[in-house]
Amino acid sequence: MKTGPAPVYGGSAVSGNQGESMLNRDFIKEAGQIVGRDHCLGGILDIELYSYDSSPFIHPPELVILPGTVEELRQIVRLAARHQAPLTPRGAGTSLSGGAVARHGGVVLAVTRLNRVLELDLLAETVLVESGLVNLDLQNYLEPYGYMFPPDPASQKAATLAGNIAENAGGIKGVKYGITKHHVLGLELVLADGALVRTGALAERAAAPDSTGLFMASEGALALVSKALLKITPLPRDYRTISAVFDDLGKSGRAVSEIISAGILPTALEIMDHQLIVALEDYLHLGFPLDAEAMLLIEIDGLGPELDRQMKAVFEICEKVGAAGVSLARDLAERDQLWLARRSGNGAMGRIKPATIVQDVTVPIDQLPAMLSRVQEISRRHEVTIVQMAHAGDGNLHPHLLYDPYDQAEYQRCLEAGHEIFDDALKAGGALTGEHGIGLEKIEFMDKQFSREELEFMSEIKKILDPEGRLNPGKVLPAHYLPGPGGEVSA
Amino acid sequence: MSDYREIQRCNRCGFCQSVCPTYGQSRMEAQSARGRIRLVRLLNDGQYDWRRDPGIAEKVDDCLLCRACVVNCPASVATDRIMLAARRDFLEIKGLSLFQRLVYRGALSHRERLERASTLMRLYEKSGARNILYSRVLRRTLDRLIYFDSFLPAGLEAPARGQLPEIVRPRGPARFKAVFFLGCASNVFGARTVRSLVNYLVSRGVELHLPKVACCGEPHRTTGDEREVRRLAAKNIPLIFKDNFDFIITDCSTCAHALAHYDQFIGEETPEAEKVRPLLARVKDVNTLVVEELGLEPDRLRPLPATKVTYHDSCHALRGLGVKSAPREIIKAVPGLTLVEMKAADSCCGGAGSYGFSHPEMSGRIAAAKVRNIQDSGADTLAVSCPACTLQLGAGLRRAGLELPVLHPVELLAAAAPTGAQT
Repeated sequence: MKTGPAPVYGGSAVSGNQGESMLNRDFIKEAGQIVGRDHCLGGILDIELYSYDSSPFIHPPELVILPGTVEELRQIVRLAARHQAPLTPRGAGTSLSGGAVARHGGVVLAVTRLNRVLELDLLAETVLVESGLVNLDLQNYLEPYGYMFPPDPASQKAATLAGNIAENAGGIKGVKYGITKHHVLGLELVLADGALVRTGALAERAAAPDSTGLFMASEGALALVSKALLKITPLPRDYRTISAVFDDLGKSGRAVSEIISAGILPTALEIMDHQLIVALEDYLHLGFPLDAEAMLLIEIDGLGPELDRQMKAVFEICEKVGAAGVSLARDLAERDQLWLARRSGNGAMGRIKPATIVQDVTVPIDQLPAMLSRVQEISRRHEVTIVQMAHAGDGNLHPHLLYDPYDQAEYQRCLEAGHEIFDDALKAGGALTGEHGIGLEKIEFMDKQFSREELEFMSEIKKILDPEGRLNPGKVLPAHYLPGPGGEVSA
Repeated sequence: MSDYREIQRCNRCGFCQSVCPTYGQSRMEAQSARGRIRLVRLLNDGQYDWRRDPGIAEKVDDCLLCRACVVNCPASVATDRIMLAARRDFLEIKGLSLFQRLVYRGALSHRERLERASTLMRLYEKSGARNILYSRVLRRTLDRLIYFDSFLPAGLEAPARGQLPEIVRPRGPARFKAVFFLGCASNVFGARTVRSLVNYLVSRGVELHLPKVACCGEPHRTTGDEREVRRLAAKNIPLIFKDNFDFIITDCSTCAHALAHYDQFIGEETPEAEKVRPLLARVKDVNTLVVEELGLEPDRLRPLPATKVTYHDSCHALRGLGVKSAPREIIKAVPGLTLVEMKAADSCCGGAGSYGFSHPEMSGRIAAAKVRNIQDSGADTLAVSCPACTLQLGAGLRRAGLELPVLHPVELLAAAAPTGAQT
C-alpha cells in the first residue's frame, strides 16, 4: 500500500521537484479572462502562499484562481474539465488534515471571495449563503435577529462554510446541537464537468431523493459547493458556564461520562489539559490555575429553573468525581473569555513548539477517560509533547502532537505516536476523525476503519461523480480505490 | 534576523484573517499576516532572496502595521515586528525607494520643507486649480490625482507652528508643565485642532511648551530606515524629556506612541535608551491626561446642540497605548453629545501614515468600508484622536459625498467648556 506523501517541513514548496505541468498557456489565459488577472495567480510567491493550510502538509499548486461570483466559479470548473486540469477546492485554508493543499499540482480554486449572504428567511428559519462566507461572519450576521448557526468549529473566526461542509465540522456546541450535516438543508453544487446541480430543499422538486448528505464530509472530492441553504436556530435564552479544575486528566474524562449518563445534555463539554491551560494563561491572563492537570468547561443552556437544576447536578458530579474546584462564570465577559481561550487552543500551541499535528479521533463516551490516559502514556513512551483538548461531550479527542520542523527525529516520533493513537481509537470502537477529515493525513488508516466493501462503495461514488479524479486529487481514499492523479484506478 | 523566533511561533492557524484589514478587502492569502510571515520565513531559511525576489518586499510593504493580528493571535506572534525587521533588511540591500526618499527623508525629516509644501497646497486650493482636476475632460484620466486631491481639506489653515508661541502660560499659577509635541501632520493639517487643544489645556491651568521638534520618526521606522529614526529621536529627546516637564502630550496618537517607545527608537541596548527609559511614562495620550489629571467637570460644561458622535480608535492609541475608554468618557461627559458605537471601531482606517499614498487602491477600499460603518452608526460627527486618521477618514467621507465633521474628542470638550475660565 502507498503511504501518505512526505510533507515538506518549513521549506519552500516550489523549490522541490515538480511534475510535468498539466496547465497550458491557453488555460491560464482563459482563466485570467474569466476571473480577471488579479485573481488568477501564477507567480512563484503566490504559489508559495497557497501551498499550505493549517496542517503540516505543503504542496505547490501551479495556478491559484479566486472566482468572484458563482458564475465565474462554474466557468472555471468547465474550463478545467476541457483541459483536464486537477482542481483543489479551498476555503480559508484552515484544514488540519491537508485537505486544502494541491498534492498533485494543478489549480487551487479558492472560494474566499464568494462570501455573500443571499437570503434570510426568518419564517422558515433558513439562510441562503455563498459557500465562501466565514462561519463567524454568518454568526455575526444572524445575531441581531436572535439566531445562530450552531456548528461552531474552533476555527470559526477564519473557516468558511464551504470548508465546514467539506469536513462536516462539529465544534464546541456539537454535543447538544449536532454538527454541520444536521443544519444543511440543501446545496448548490458545481460538478466536475461544470454542471450546476441543486440538492435537498434547494432542488425544484424537493420530493426527489435528497443527496445533500452525500456531500457532507466529502472533502471537496465529489463536487464544489457554491451555495448552501442552512437551517438557523434561535439563540439560547439563557445559559450557565461552569469551569471545573482537576488534579488528574482521567478524572475530568470521568466527569464527562457521568454528566452525559445523568441525562444532562450540555451545550458544550470541553476538556483542556495542563499544558494547554498554561499556554492559554500565557496568552489571555485569565487567572487559570497553573498547577491544574485538567480543566473542564461546561456550558448548559435553556430556561431558568431547568438550568439551575442542571447546574446543581453538574456541580455535584464534578465534586463527586474529585474536582479540586468548580466555579460559575460571573458574567458574559468572563464566559466570552473562557470560550475565546478554548477556541485559541490550536494557535496557542505555537507558544510551546512551532509545528503541530492535530488529531481528532473519536471514541465512545464511556471510553473517553481511558483514551485520555492512554494518549498521556503514548506521549511519555515516544518522548513527544502531546497537548490534549477534547470536545469531550461527543467523545472527540484533539491530541496536539508538537514538534520542531527542523528536527526530523522528533517528527518521526510524532508520526509513530500518532499512528498508535489512531490504532487505539479504532480498537476502542472509535473513528479516525470527528471533523478534521481524512485529507492526506489519515489515508493509510482508511483500510483499518472501513471494510473493503465500504471503501469500494466510496470508490464507485467517486468514479461516478469525478471519473477523472480531478477534484481534490489524491485525497481521502487510498490509491487503489482512487481514480486520477495519485490514484491507481481507471474509471 | 533577531525576530526570527517570532516567526517560528506562527503555526498557520489563520485566525489573523478575521481581523486583518487588507485580508478583509482582498480575501487573498498574500494580504494576511499568515501569508506575510510565511514569505519572510522562507527568506530567512534562505529559500528566497531579496535581490532575486523583490516581490517579497512588495508584499511585506502591503502590511499596515496596525497590530490587529498581534492582539488576536493565540500565539501572540508580533507580525509588526517581523515586518519592520524585514523592511530594515530590505532597505539595507536596496536602499530607499524614490517615494521614500522624497516623502520621508526629503519632506518629513525637515519641518520647514513641510511648511513650505503647506503654502503650495493652500495656493493650489485657493487659486481654483483643483477645479481643473474635476473638469469633465480630464476626469477619466485623472482618477488617481482626484483620489489624492480628496485628502486636501477645504480651507486648509497655515501651519500651527506659526500661529502659536513656544511657551503658553496660564493666567494663574500652573497646575503642571507639559510639552505639547507638535507633530508633522498636526502642524500642517491640524492647526485648528492644535489651537483648540492648546487653548483648552491652558484654560485648565496647564503651562504648555511647544519646542521646535523634529518628526517623531515613526514614518521612517515603518520603512525600516533605522539610522534616520535614531537621528530624529536623538534630536527630540533633549527637547522634550527635560526635568521640569511633568507630561509630554500630543494630539497625534502616532507621535504619542512613538515617543513612548523612544528607548527602542534610539537603539534598545544603548546607554541613551537606559537614560530615557525611566522618563517614558511621562508621555501621555491627551484624552487620558484630560480625564485623569484635569478631570472632566461635566457640571461646568455648556450643552452643545444634540449630536450623535461615533469614535474611531486609531491603531497607535488603542493597540499601541491601550487607550480605549478615555476618549469615549470625554464624549459622554459633554452635554448634548451621544456616543454611538460604529461597527469595527477598532479596525485600522487604512491611513497608516503614508500608506494612503503608497497603496492608494487598498487604502481607499479600507477607508470606504470604514465610511460605511460610520454611516451605518447614524452618527453626525466623527471623533478621532489622530491627524493621520483624520486625514484618511476625512478624505474617505469626502469621496463618499458625506459632510460629517471630523473632530478630536478634546476639541468637542473644548467647544463645551466655559470660555476664558480658569481653574
